[in-house]
Amino acid sequence: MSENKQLKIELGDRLAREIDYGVHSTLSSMFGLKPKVGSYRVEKDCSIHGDVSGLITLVQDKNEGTLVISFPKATIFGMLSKMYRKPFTEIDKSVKLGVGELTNIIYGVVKANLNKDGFAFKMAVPNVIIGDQHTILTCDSGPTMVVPFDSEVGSFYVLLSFHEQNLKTEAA
Amino acid sequence: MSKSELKILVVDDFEMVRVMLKNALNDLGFYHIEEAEDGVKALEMLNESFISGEPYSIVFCDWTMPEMTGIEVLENCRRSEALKALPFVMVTAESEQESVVRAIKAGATDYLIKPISPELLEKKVHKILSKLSSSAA
Repeated sequence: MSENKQLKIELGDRLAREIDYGVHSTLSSMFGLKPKVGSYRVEKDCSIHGDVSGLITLVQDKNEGTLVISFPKATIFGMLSKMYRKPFTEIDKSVKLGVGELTNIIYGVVKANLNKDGFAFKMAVPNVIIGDQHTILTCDSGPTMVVPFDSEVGSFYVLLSFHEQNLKTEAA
Repeated sequence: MSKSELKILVVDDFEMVRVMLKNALNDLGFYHIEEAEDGVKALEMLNESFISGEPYSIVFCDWTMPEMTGIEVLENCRRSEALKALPFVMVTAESEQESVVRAIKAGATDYLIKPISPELLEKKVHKILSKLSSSAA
């Protein structure tokens, strides 16, 4: 897809629905959870706290933005405990890799549905950030969509930010 | 051979996915499940199992892995006289049509897209087992 014909994305209801679908289908299939999505918000200067976060770059022809899934320890421990059928009390290798793979799978679902509309997002390699109450500050030039979730094992956030030039605006 | 005796290999570099598949297969009544965390190890286990006379009945293999990708494991299997008929299910987070076509062209028996639902896994396994029992009859 050439750069000048590249579709622009809107941080709105449609994207929030795709994120909800990606999170819901992943967590219900893998952990038997039924996460509930809250009202999303779009912020220019976003700052979210988490203990373990998975981060993946959204790439079409070039870097377009970032998707972050940020968990408090209790939430991710609760999720993984359901799958491993044992309690988790510390951020070990299983937790680190688990958050990376969850990020990858959720992004895969969101990507597949957006690509049906003509986008051309590609798979990318996730990274994981660890640190008690670390702050996620989005550095992409555009605003950030913050989508809160609650589940049987606790709350978490999905953040999606894009560079300004990739966003659909009212003037565009 | 009963379900509990069927030998299944689960290959994924992510432990969480191996655990998820193993649990789901256990819940379906399959208990003889072994794991490999990369393609090189998987191919080694598949070859050794054939030589030992206790071959795997099905392999579930992730596509994107370091060292050797799932598609490379599949291609190696299909080139091998011993493993060319092994039921091989490609597992991936990549759901684009062209990826599915590529896997099927390379000889995948079936395809599972992450997140894997236990219901879909059950359908795929039963489909493979039906084929196996009809070809054995």
